[in-house]
Amino acid sequence: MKRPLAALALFLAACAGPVGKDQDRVLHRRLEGEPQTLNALISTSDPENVVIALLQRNLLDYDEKLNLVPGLAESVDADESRLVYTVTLREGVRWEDGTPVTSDDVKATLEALVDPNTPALYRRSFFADLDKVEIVDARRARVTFRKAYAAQRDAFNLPLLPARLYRGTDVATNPANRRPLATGPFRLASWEGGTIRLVRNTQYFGDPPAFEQVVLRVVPESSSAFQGLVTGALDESRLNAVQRVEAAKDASLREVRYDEIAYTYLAWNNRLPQFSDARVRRALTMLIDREAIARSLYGGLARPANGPLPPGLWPYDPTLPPLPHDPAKAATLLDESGWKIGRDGIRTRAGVALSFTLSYGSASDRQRQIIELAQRSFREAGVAMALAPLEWGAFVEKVDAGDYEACSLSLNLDPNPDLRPNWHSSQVPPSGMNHAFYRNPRADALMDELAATFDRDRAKPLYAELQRIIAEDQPFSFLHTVSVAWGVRTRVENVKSSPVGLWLFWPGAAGWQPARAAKPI
Amino acid sequence: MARFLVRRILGSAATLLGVLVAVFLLLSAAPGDPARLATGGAPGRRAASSEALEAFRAVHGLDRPLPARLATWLGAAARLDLGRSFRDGRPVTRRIAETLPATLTVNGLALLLAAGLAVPLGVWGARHPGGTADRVSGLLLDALFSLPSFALGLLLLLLFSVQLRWTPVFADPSLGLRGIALPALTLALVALAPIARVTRRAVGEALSSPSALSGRARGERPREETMRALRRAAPAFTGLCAALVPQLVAGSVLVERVFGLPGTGQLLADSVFSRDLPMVLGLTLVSGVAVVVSTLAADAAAAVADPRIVDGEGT
Amino acid sequence: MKRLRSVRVRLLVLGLFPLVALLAPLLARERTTDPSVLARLVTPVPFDPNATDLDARFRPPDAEHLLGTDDLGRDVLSRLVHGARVSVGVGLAAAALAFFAGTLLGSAAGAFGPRADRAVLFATGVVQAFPALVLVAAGAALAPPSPFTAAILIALTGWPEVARLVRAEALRLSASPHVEAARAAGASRRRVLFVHVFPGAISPALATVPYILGGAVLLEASLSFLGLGAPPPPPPGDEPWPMPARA
Repeated sequence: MKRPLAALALFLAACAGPVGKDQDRVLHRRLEGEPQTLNALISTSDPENVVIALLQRNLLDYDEKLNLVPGLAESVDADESRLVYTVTLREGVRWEDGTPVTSDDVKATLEALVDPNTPALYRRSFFADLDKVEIVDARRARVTFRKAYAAQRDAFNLPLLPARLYRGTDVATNPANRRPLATGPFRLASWEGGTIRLVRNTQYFGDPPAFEQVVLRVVPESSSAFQGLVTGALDESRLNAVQRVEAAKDASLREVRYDEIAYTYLAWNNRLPQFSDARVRRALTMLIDREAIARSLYGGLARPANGPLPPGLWPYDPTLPPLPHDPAKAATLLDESGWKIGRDGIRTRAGVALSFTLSYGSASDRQRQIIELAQRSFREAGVAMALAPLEWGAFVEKVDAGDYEACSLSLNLDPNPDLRPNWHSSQVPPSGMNHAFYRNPRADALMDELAATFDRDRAKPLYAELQRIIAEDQPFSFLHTVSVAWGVRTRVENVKSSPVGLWLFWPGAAGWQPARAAKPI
Repeated sequence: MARFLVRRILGSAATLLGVLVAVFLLLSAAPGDPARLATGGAPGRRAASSEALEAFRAVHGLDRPLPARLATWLGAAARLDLGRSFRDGRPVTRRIAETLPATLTVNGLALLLAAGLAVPLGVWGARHPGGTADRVSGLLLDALFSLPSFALGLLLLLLFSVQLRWTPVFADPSLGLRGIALPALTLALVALAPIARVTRRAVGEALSSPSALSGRARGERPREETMRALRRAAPAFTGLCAALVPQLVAGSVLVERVFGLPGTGQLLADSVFSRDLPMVLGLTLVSGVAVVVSTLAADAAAAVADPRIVDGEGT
Repeated sequence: MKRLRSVRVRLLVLGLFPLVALLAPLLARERTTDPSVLARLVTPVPFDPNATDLDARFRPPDAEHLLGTDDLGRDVLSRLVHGARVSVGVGLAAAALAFFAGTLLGSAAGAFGPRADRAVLFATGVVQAFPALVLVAAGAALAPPSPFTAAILIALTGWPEVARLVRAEALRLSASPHVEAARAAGASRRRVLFVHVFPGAISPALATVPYILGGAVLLEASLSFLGLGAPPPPPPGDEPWPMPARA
């Protein structure tokens, strides 16, 4: 029994390759899933964006405070009418093959973007009112819109596609989606078997990145990724609550955090009699001990959400208090709104029981735990909530159609704080995403006004009023805004964080550096 | 024998067709919109416009009635054109060709390992039933079998990759044997119990059969006796084969996830969850062919071992 | 004799599970105010399986919580006892269904001649070549996940293994001299099937039952993971595709 084991050990040891010094210049990163495309216009998933952020600069980039800074364009200026934007490309910007980036590429990219056949997910919504794109000269393009929009300049946080590879093609199936031409600090060297290898782009207009190579590996499983982080096979990985404790004991790891611009919530279908009264919805929120959940389940890395905007976005109102955990007050609210406890302990009003089914479509442990805690708290207050876990695809279809009673979800926002898609009464399912079926004329008016308010100082009080109205109405039970913890090996320095994470801003991961001690002497 | 084989091959083709039609219907009937899922849609997220969704449906023929779509797919598949993935628009055959080698290597190695360990164990158990070794190995195998494969995989990973540092944390077929040793070992350990059990029972029965008695009376040596018993036990392996081979091709999602192995198991899981119908059908076809072929081979082997099976077939 | 004893031990263990599962609501429930020895005996696990206590998460095993507490501060033993109800129920139901369908179809295939054989072979072939993942995921999308759905799905994937084993054995038996003799003596087909083929063919399939049962419990544990699919954007702070809690 001993001999084969020893032989196995010898064999495995013999297979171990030598570790070269140049390994210090290679950054090892994790992808949580397999990218489907490296075309930045149509990318839909986080792993795709991880790679694209290293390959492409945008016309304008966000910095870590989410301000727009020059990228491929040295400027994007609006005229007085706020309808015409002039894009001026930086001098000497090239594709990785050495050909210059021109205003024709800008034109081709925007044409591809508004082509109805292009499955450009959210970028298209910024160009819904695009009128025309004109070439002024090789470096300048003029983009005209039909309507002025407050967040229009954010639309130019836009990567480019090379005109000669994409014009007149089907963007969704273009082979260049897997062999993108880079404009950023790295270019694609190879992509096979779940491993993507990037090397420095010698044609990049900016300073070369400190790392010579980036190797990105698809590692879907969090526990395995963490072992990779511990052994040095990976330089970064997201940490869960248990892993954070482990990582804190490991001297070769450092924790980096950011407050995600996202929140979790329980959605109530406001059309149902159970949820039509704002007092009931407020009561439901007050029954959930969000503080305790943040403390225990999130290990302190979360706080109760106060409304529809997370901190990290500029209009967020920090003076708006989240609803307190107050079961007694909640019971009073329920009594006042006419829902009285019946003989079976369940509240009823006019023959309707305060009972409903909450669907959820994800197997996330924590989400399930929170739902179970809420279920128990509700039950003690005479509210019966049944749980229906659904397969994700089936769940999406139901919620999109508005065909649900209650559901558990989270919302990831982007730097544009426009609240119309989720809260405007014109956006109800099946065509829109206001799946609470929220309707408030004053809120509608405020959102419409904000879409045409360009001055942030004037917009802020309007946003504050809007947040107060939606928080008062509690069309959802807003649960938590969350900090995300990342484990990074100490050999990597200069890791900055922003509300959009560690790399979806400039310079993001392109600015990471090998620690000085790790450099060959 | 030839007639037997032809009949079996025709039957297998019918089986394949049945599987493909069933998968197509089941996945089409399941709620979940491929267009919405392929464009990354999630509730509350800024979604692809409805024109983009319509265009997607038109490109992939999703706007046509079910029978027409099925017929088109089958017609193309007959010419070995498995269509394009809904998710990235690439040919299904390409994506399968990219992921299949890793899965085949790992699972093939696992099957060899499992058979190499389990058959001798089973034979030993059958020759010495109730002995200490038999009972201990039985308990051990049962314990291994009761462990979820991902838990076993994580345990092995912690031991060999993190503690001993013999193997890389993530499976990597390009590193040769060392790169895939752990996933293969995990799958092999899980498959040990059923193989050993079937062997033990089949060989045990063959050993106590009259022909074995007569063999022993003739003075047959134990080795010959065992070989004969194994041959007689062949039919029992048919079922086992059919049960184990799908995994060879379809892979094991859980084990592939634990070791970050880019194989067909993960591809299949992702495709099912995103309703990527062409991808799922393509993978079903490939794994179906493997199952059918291996079953045929096992049946043929059984027929060779016991010609009465063929005769029974003919009457 | 040794063999008999080990069988008895196995039967005892096998029997204990359903018993515990059956009595779960009595054995494990919130303790009443009575702290007497008798109460402890009658209710050995004095915790409601769903009672949460966020200030008592991840407690190691002690005299109070014999197996400690879980991530929501719930008593692990109490949850195990109650959880056994579902797992064992699903496993038993699935194994019984699979075994019943498998042996019936398998021996019919072996005894009723080539046409029946072909039909059964076709059905087992289809199910065995059917990717289990597709069946489970699509099943979970079509019918909301429940113990009942789980049992049906597991039985659906499990029966062909039994059927193939039984069929192979039945084929061997029906070609064997004693069955041929019975046929020659004019025994009816049903008699051949139930008296001569079925009893002999069952025994190899019996060996698979523990495996179906075990596999059923495992599959049931992974169903939540496999059957629910993955949300593309993970909930804030969570990894996409989390593993089942403690499967």
